[in-house]
Amino acid sequence: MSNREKLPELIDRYNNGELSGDELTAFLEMLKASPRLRKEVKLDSDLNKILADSDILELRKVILSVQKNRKKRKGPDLQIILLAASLLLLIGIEVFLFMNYPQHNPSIGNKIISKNQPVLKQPVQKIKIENQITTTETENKGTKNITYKKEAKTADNFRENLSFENIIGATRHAGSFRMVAPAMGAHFSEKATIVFKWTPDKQAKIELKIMDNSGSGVHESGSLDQSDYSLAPGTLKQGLYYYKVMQKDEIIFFGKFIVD
Amino acid sequence: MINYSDEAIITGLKEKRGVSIDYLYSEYFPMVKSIVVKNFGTYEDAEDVFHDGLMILYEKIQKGTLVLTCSLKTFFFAICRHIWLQRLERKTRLIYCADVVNESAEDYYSLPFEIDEANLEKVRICQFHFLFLPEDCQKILRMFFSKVKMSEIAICMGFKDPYYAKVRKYLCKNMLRKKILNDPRYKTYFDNE
Repeated sequence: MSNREKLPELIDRYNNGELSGDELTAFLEMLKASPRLRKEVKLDSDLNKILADSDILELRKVILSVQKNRKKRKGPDLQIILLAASLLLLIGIEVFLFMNYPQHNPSIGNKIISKNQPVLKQPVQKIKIENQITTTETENKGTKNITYKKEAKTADNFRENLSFENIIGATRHAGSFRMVAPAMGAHFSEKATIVFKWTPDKQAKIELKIMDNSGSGVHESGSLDQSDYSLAPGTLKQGLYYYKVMQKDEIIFFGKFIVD
Repeated sequence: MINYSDEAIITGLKEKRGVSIDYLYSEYFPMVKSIVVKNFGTYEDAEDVFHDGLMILYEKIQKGTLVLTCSLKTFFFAICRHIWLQRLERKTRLIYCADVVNESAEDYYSLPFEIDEANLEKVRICQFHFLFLPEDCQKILRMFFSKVKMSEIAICMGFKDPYYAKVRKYLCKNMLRKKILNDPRYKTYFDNE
């Protein structure tokens, strides 16, 4: 038997006062040297005392069994039920939104849904775009059904670009450069002048590139050494735009604004 | 639901009747949970405190040292509150090396005896793990802790000889020791003893 295998026996015998002579001396030396052994000896001694009281042990058994039965009777915790219900509700909402999002379900936004609409003999006859509203007129046996739907295309212009959203505000090797305006996500009217301002890094020139929400470049400032830059009214149509400030071919700031 | 008098509860607890403990759970546990949860504890902490309170009450009943100068409910609540505040202080001291500001004790019934809260927790952990050992291990260890001889344990358990009983006893005790040492509550609060 190795020393390790012998240890439980030695601990047992030590706690029962059965060690003597060289065996006791050697064990005491080991105790002095090993905090782990001291802990085990202490636990063993505690166990001998605690578990010798079979009466208290019986009571503990009854208490645990009552506790178990009560939990069984009670069923799942109300909090767990509420949590599960909330999760299901969230999943339901997610699925609903996903199915009704034009990008995922192209039929939405193109198809006109009219209550009690019979089968169309002629599909779409005329599409008129006016102030973001598409008017669609359909004719069926002399009855005119006119429905309105917000133009999906316009909504598309405002949809966030997730890749860009993740790097908004990110700066790298920006030195003393700080973007002052526009505020992140600022709204501008189509007829307003959009002003970009920054506190310049005197070391190098910067360049401003503006992209629409699909990532296509829509405007480039060229090399700038001043601390502001303006876009004339009407330069950008309605939509969500992202811009990056470049310095020596590196992005030092990434922001966004909205023209509406 | 039947209402039990204090005397009936005391008798029931003395005889370890499940129905009495179940009644105590329904009637007394909510207030214990309330004091524990209001003072940074969890539902599980409240259950531990409630169980420890039952142990103290049982011990007092068994030793005949239970002297009630108020209702049993008030007395039990005072025990549990005392246990929790002591435990909170000990654990906060161990984890954050800081003292907990106890709520004022003026409005409560004060206990005329001391409670070794840390020992209650240690006993609970050891008994809990013991009661979840395999049935035969529990039997062997129960006999061993009651100082039954190995030869008798061997006969009782149907082992071929006392040596095998001894080996089984070591295996069971080791299993128990490991479970306790791996219990995070034991690790956290009793490692530095």
